Amino acid sequence: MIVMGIESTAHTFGVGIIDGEGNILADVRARYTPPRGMGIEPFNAAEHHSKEAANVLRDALSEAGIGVEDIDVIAFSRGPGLGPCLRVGASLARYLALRHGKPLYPVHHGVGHLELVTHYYSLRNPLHLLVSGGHTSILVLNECRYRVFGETLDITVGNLLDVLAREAGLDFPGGPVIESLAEKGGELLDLPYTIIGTSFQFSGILTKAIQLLKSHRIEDVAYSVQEVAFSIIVEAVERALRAVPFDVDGIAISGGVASNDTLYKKLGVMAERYGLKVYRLPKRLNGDNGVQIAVVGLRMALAGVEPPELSSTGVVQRWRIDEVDIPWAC
Amino acid sequence: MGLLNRLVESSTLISRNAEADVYLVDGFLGRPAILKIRVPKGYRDERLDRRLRQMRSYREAVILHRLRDRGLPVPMLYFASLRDGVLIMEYIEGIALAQALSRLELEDAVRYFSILGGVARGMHGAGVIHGDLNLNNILVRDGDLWLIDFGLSYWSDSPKDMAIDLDSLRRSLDSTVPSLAERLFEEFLNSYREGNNYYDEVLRFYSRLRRMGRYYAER
Repeated sequence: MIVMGIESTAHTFGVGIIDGEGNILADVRARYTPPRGMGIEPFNAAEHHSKEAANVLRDALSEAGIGVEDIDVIAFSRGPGLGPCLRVGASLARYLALRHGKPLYPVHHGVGHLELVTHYYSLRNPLHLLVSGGHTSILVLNECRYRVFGETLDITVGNLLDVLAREAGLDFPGGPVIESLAEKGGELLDLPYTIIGTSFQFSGILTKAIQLLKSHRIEDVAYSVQEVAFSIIVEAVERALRAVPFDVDGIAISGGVASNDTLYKKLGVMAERYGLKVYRLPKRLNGDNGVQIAVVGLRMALAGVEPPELSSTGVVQRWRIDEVDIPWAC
Repeated sequence: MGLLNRLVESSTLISRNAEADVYLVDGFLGRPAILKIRVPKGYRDERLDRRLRQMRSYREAVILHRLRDRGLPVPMLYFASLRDGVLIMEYIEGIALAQALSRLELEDAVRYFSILGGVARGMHGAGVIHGDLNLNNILVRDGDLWLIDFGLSYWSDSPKDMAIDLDSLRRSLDSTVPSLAERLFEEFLNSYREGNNYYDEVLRFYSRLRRMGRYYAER
């Protein structure tokens, strides 16, 4: 079986192709980069995706060494994400499915991040930490769905880093820039540490950090923001470990911010105390990609899920991850 | 810390979790007791870590004392060394509600949530927010129930803060026992509302909080 996954929730337009065992045959992406000092403007990003879609598709097919007719299943990211961007991927997916008579599966983007890391390391049921621009959530599969054991109650950690970088006049995405600046900082500035059980908030950190930019070295602000925000996340994961009603076989970290080594190391220090291993994908697979969408498509096809009518494959900008049924885990 | 060290050495580690390392002390002034140490977390900058541990031990000590004084079911505090982040308190022989739920008949589970509603109302009436009200911080045994782990607690008489406890409890139910969540929470609310002047306002903030997670359809 050959599965194609199309990703277009935000800045990345990607096409991934995998075989029936989940081996990656192609992973091609084009990324929209907003001008310095700006965030993603949805219509500009969508315009970028429209221009790049055909190239990305062609390159992916040639990388895999196949034609469209060799594809057995097509999956696309239905949401959550930016409407204009989502529609580009959905339109391409529907066209290919109709034109070539292939089954079409709409996929939850976040489930893609989780399933990719679970699949890659053949994990049974890990505790997931999903950290990106769209999510900052702690999840475990329980009773046929990914249940949220903790999450941000305001902005995501990706958002925190991106906006801080933007305010400081740095490039998008902010995560990698903030991380390298933090290595040169060391003064711990006072930032709000808001943890509510296993949930948390970051907007207080952002507001205070932007103020501190005026009076302190950016390196120290970067260090303090990472230190406080990541400590909150790791503590929430530690609290969630206790809340899960069964044993997990590790901690899986995914999403764009998973590439941050400071966060990864902190998580490792915590996990070691409980004899757990932290599983992280090769960095290139943490960011949005088509492979994560293809992996979910493969799971759905293997589980015998009936592909929905074309009329009910519309995009969904707001879509809770714990509202998605996971039939292959039932 | 010599005396404490000796005490720890003669005790049994019964739980190691995000809150603290928890030991069972065989006899503290002749009674079985719990010794809770907030150990340094290696993943945090030690300046931040020290501040958090001291603050949490302090709050837990003061709040346990206040609640017990009000006759609420929490462990009695025997001893506190805030500098070391050490608390010694009454040993409660019970199991976490999270574990109990997998074995309980529905009607017994429902009864515990009815009791819990009253306890939460009393706690909020005493001006205390638990801050981490989940199924692991509630102990039960033979129809009795206790609240534990007040490390994230604080003082407040604002319905907005009270709503945080309701939200934590509901999230804990949703993630741990999804199929029972609705029914048990309803029972909790029924008894939480009895004679509770704050109820309407707490519930208003609670429904707002419920939608604060990621990607709810409407806000």
